[in-house]
This record gives sequence, C-alpha cells and structure tokens, in this order.
Amino acid sequence: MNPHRISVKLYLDDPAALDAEAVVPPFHRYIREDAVGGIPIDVARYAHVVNGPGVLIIGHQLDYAIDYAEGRAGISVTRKRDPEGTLAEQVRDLAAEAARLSLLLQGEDGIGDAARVGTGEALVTILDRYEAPNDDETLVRVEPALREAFEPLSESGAVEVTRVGGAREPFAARVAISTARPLERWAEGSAALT
Amino acid sequence: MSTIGWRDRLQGQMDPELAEEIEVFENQVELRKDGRVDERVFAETRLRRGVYGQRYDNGQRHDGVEHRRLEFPSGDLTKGPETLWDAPGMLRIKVPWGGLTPLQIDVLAELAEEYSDHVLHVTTRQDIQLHYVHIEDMPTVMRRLAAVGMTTREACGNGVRNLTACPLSGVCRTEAFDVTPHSEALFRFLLGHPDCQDFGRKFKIAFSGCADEACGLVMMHDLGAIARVDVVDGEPVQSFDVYVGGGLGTTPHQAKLLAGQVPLGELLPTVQAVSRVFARLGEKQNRNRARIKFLVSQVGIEEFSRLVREEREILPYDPRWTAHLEDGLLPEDPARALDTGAEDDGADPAFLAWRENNVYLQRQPGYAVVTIPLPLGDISSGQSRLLADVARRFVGDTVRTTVEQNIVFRWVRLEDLRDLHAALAEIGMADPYAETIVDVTSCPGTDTCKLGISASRGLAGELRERLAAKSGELDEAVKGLRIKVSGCFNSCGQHHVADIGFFGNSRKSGGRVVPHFQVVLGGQWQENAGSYGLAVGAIPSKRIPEVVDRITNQFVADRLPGESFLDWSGRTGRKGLAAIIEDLKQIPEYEDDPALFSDWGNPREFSIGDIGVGECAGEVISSTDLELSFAESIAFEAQVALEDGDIERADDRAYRSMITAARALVRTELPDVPEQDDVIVREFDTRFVETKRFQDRFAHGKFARPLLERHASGQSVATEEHARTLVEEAQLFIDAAHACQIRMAGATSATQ
Repeated sequence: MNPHRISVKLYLDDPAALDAEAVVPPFHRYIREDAVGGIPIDVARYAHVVNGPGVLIIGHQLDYAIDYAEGRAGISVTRKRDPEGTLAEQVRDLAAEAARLSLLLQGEDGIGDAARVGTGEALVTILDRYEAPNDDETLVRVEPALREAFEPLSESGAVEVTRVGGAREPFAARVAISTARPLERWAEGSAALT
Repeated sequence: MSTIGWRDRLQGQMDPELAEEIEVFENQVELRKDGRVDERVFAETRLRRGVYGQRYDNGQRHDGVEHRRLEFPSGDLTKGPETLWDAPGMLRIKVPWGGLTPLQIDVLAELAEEYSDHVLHVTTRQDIQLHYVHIEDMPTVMRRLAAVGMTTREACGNGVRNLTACPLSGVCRTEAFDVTPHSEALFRFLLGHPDCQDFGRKFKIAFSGCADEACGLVMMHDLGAIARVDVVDGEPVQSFDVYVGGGLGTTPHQAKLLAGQVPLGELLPTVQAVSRVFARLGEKQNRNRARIKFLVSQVGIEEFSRLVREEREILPYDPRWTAHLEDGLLPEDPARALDTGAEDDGADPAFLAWRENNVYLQRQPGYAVVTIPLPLGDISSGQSRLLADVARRFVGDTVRTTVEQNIVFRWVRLEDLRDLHAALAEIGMADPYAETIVDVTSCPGTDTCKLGISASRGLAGELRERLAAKSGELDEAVKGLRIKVSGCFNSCGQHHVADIGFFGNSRKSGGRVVPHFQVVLGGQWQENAGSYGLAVGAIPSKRIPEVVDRITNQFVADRLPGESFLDWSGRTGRKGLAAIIEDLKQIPEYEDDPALFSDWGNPREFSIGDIGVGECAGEVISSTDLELSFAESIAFEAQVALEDGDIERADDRAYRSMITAARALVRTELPDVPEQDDVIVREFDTRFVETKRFQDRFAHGKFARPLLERHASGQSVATEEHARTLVEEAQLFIDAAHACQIRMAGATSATQ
C-alpha cells in the first residue's frame, strides 16, 4: 500500500493547559530555524474552528499541528508527499516527528508541560479513501504494519489496534501501547529503532 | 495509483463535457511538467479551471528576519510566471447561487482532508475554496467534485465567475419571485459559452429577488438581475430589471440600469448580448481598465444599451434561452412536511438568543431559514460531515452558502427549531451571532492571498472574539452593524458595503513598515449595496479594535431616535468621523511599541516583501514622509469638499494631492524641482512611470494614470461622478506613492 497521506496523532496529557495561539510564535521560529522536517512553508491558524485542525505548520512534505479534530487535542503530523520506507517505517517516523514537536514545545517558555503528550495511545489516519476505505478489510491489510511500527515503542511489545470511525470518514486506527518507552525514545524514529 | 484509480472509478459519473475538460487539464499538467507548454499558457489554463496561486508561490518568504527561498524538489519548474510548481495553491469551487446538498458537503469534506488542510472556506461570493493543494492533485479533486455535480471551471481567470443569488430566494417574505431557477439556467448557459471566452477581465453576476433588501448585492456586480412583478391587463407578469457595470475594487462603481422589465425568456439572450459586446469592445491590454464598469463608464449607459440591443437583434436563436421556462419552474419542496406547525417556544436563554439572531421566518407558514455562522467562513472536514448529517435530518438538500461566509438551512419546520438548535450546539455550530456585528466578514488576506497587504483574517478574528465577549453589553443599535475586512484595496472582503469597513495598506515609520487598515464608514448593505462608504483615514492595524470601540460608542452617544448608522455617518460627515480616530494615526518609535510593527495573528515583524519585490527596512527620508503626509491631508480636503457638494473644489483638491505626492517622489532625486505642475508631472512621468518604478507588481501602472490624465486634460471635470472617482483615485495614488517610497528605500539599502 502506498497511501496518498498518512497522519499520526499523539494526545496532549492536559488539553486544557495549552492555548493553541501560544504555539504561533514558536511555529514561525521553527520555520525560520529549520527546526522541523521537510520544507516548512507557513503557519495556518484555525483555532477558531471548533474541533478543527487547530494551528499548523504547513509544509511541502509534512504538516505539523496542534490538532483538535474529534474533539481531542493532540499533536499530529501528516505526511503528504515524498514518502520513504515501508508503511510501518512511515508511521513510526510520523510518530517520531510528533514526539519531537512535543519535546520542542515543552522547551518553550510559557508552554512547557502543556505540550506534553501521552505515549500510551496514538491515532493513525490514512487519508486516502481509494487505497484505504475505512472498513475491516483495510484494517486487516494495515494492522501488521501498525504493529510493526509501534511494537518497538513499547517495552513489552504489546500493542492493540482498533479501527475507529464510520465509512464516510478516512480510515483511522487507534493504537494502544502498553508499557510505552519514553517520548525521547519515540523521537528517535525508525533509523534508531531498527 | 489513486489518481488513476479515481479516474477509472468515476467514469460515467461525471458530466461528459466536464470529464473531458478535466482530462484536457490533466494532460496540460503533464505537458507543462515536461516543459512542452509555455508557463503563461499553462497559467491561463489552470486559472480557467479555478486553480489559483497562493502566497509565497514565487518560492520567497519573509520569515520575520530575512527573505528565504523555499527549496522545493521540483526546483525552478513553474506553473506560471514566478509561480513554482511545488508551491501549494488554492482551488476555488463554484457553488452557483450557493446551493449545496449534504452529499456535496461530504465530498468537499473528503477533499479537504485528503488534499488540503482539513478546512473548507466559504468566500464572499458563495464559492468554496480549498487551500494548500498541490497542482498534481488538482485533476483528481476536480473529478471527485464533478461526480457530485460540482465544477471549478471558470472559477478564476477572465471569465464568468460564480453566479450568486440571495440565499432566501424562494422563501423570502419580500421578494417578487424565486430567482433560483433563472440563476441556475443562466449559470449552465454561460459555463464554457464561446461568447464568454474572450473577456479582458473577470465577470461577476448576481441575482436578487427584491430591490430594497441587501439580497444579491446587484449594484456592486458586473451584471445583476432584480426580479419584479407588474400587473398587466390585470395579470401579474414577472420580469427582471437588468443592471450592468457595477464593481468594487480600487475604483468602485454602482451598476446602472441596462434594461427594465426584461421578460423572463429574454434574460439569457440579453446577458449573452452583453457578453458579446464586452468581449468585443472591452479593454484587453490594460487589465486595470478591463472590467466592464470601465467600458460602461467610457461609452455611457445609453450607448452601451444601444449596442446590446443591436447585438441582441443579430443573435442566432438558441433553444436554451427558454428551455428552463418550458420545463416548468418547480418550487423547492420542504424535506419534512409540517406536523403541528407550532413552534415550541421554551425559555432556554441560549436558544432564545440564537432564535433572535439566526432564524428568519419564511413566507411559507410553519417554516424558517436558519443561519449557521462560520467563523471567518471556515468549517472543518469533521464538522462538515456532522453538519451534513444535521441537514439530512432536518432539511435535506436545501442548504446554501451566503456572501457573508455562512451556511443557511432552509425549510426548517418551526416545530423542529429547538431540536435543530440542540443538534447544532452538539457539534459546536450554534453561535447566536448571525448577521450581527460579531459576524465579521473577511477575505483571506495575508494568510493565503499573494496580493494581501494586511492580515484581514487576523483582524476579523480578533474583532469577532472581542465583540462576542461583550455582545451582551452592546447597544441594540450596534448589534446589527456589519463589519467587513479586506486585506488590500481589491475589496474581496466587500468593505465598501459595510457599516464599518477596513482594507489593508501600510505606512513607513522610522525605517520600518507598519501594517495599517484604511477605515471606510457608512457603506450601504441594503438596496442591493446601494451606496459605498468612503475612507476616513488609515490607522495602524493593532489599533483597529480601538477604532471600532470609538466609532460605535460615538454612534450610540450621538444618534437620533431611530437613526441608522448610514444616516448618522452621513450626518456626522467625514471631518467629524475622522476626528474620532485622528490621534490613533500617530506611530510611535519602534522601541516604544514594537507590537504595532507586526500584524494580527502573526508575530513576524511586518513586511510587504511577500507581495512585491524583496524589500529591506531602509532609512527614513523624512522630507518625503512629510510631503506624503501633506498629500494625504489635501486628499482628505477633497473628500470633505465632495461631501459638501463642492464638486469643483473636490476635483481641484484631489488633483493637488496627487501633484504633491508626485512632487515628494521627484524630490528624492531632484531636490530643487520647481513648483510648476508641468515640470512635476513631466519629471514624475519620466523618472517613475516610464521607468515602471511607480508600478505595483500586481496593479501595474494603474495608480499613475489618474494624475497623468487629469493633468493632460488641463481642466476641472464637471460631474459629481468623475469627481468622486478622482477623489478615490487620489487616495490610491498616495498609497502607491508610499509603496513606491518603501520599495525605493529597500532597493537603496539592498545596494549598500
């Protein structure tokens, strides 16, 4: 499978603690300092949209977001172009990008722990209804890759994959990770874990 | 893979003509990638299919410190002049008369997720835009749209744009008759019509059901039709009054009556005849004079009408002119028949507030139109799907977008209002601010538009938030005011027809550039945008909320019983209005208030470099600043004179303000230029116009023309209309002089 777009979202530990607008200045700085992957282009602000994409760094290959979709705040990273590696590697690398952004934001004055994300759960979304409709057949096809992506991120290697959402929504799987490794480890990505 | 897959899967589901159009475009994309199509040809090709450029698509972005090049993988490959292949772009999707079905909303949501940034943006012309879309994804997006009856064809470029209509058409209590079937027929007739392929500029059409309400805003359109019913021989006869030559932009024009009481069957051929005249006689070389308003103004409405009648007489017959009439004009049916027909009027304050602002009783007893406000015209993919479900449950296919960037549900049973409110509240879409001062309209501005000067969305969002927070305390007279914001002089936010309007510009101070908004007060929303507001002064962007507070407070304090904002602003006059905000114009030193040097929602230090050639902060040329400031004062005198009805003085002051601004620029190179108009104009022409240094990158030389023409004529113009135009143009000339000065300073510092 070579899906058009893939997204991985990690959820904020304390969603109420983070003001989405607070990330706008650091996001602009990350673009200036090339602190995020791919070719970042600009910051898009949608915090006014209820349950929307929040505040994003729009890039050529990757979008980074403080994301409020499905009514839960998190940090999501979406690969839009130029994928590298297997599906499992792509997913794990997106999780790594999300972890890195969380760590970057945690280092910002005025944000700190508000940007902390949990490692016990991730949402993987495949934004390609042609390749990956949201049904059980797709789950069967992608579950091995999702397990391969997340098992190294768990001390015990125990992960559970559950499909979520209806047929009109893009394919999405919630991955529960038991005894997850620290976020810093997640941030190392595929290269360090394989 | 999915590109080919979608093409195969959707075969047979698309209108064959649209399918072929998309096929051709996809081939053009491939040919351009291989360098076998000229970039200019490809640019026009994509524009005619709604594929627009976006900010930073020249690969340059000012990051707040310096200009940076975006190193895209495709390198220097372009999709148009100075428009890089890989730079994300915008896709504008036509929504004729604003009509949408839940299925279409579902598909739009899918496309926003898979190809854009998860947001659908409703525009001020009832379109929907997707941003940050890659050029190579466009054909697939177009196919998926075509499969549900939607098109991007001619949504941009020099053709007939989306056709707008009052969202209350068919259910309005004051309309003459439902204009929907006629607007749909005209939309289909003109889409891709050979007579509309050779325009020098875009062409916008609107329909209204009645003359007195805001309705379709006909008077600000290239062409508009207002429904009317007359009693002839005791029988009601439906027809249209057709107007032509309106428009906003830098020089707003009110449309003029082309023909009254045009029979229904004559509407399409009349518009076709207008199109042929426009294509034949409209300006083609100078795009700044190419809208039909300039042609109508140039030849006069009587002569233009004669040309159209002449053209109409020789048109070959086309059965499509009347096919929609012969098929019968079926009224829209409600999705749910009335049960009790009675409204449950409980006492929940949230419901009552929403009921007061967001619900309009239809002329059909028992039904209402409900407005769902979209902040800044935005709705996420997830919300869109949920909203489509709510529509299916309550109103079926009777959803429409509005020019105020909202969505309306029509045919809501009064007995369903409380349940609908609860359903909307559950998905976070029950804001009770529809069509109030909180419901601020804005164009994309610097967020995504490459022409944007100031952050219109940033400002609109800030105003919305502040006004919503104190909406309970607002005076009743203020609650119903409209605020509209444009990021530049091109007026996409329709600031001319707002009670309180703003358009972006900039000023230079201490070697830095400060984002500003020009304040435009007293535009008329009613009577189809019956008159336009006029500028009263440019204020730093960050002080605009203070402007709103002062203006509204003064209005509440001064207004006579029952007096409208329009009447109050007219009675107060330019001088009085300007005095309210005069002190806010002062720009402090950067060190004293650095926040003033960035724009709303964007912490980068402000730069206009993203819209023009790269500019650096240059040194202040104090004498130039002073002279330009003086020119502004004279321009203001012109505005006051116009308001006082002193046409001759208005003309003279407008002319003198341009002379002064021109002299300010000439003096930067020829300090001893004599105080003789002939010399100043000659030197200005030679040094700045002929060298194209006065040209704006996008507006080109249009701003210099009023001075050159007025000077060449050697005399005052006599009519109010000409004087009004000259006064508007004088302000734009001065803005252009400021911009020229900023560019020069940048060029100077860059060479040092």
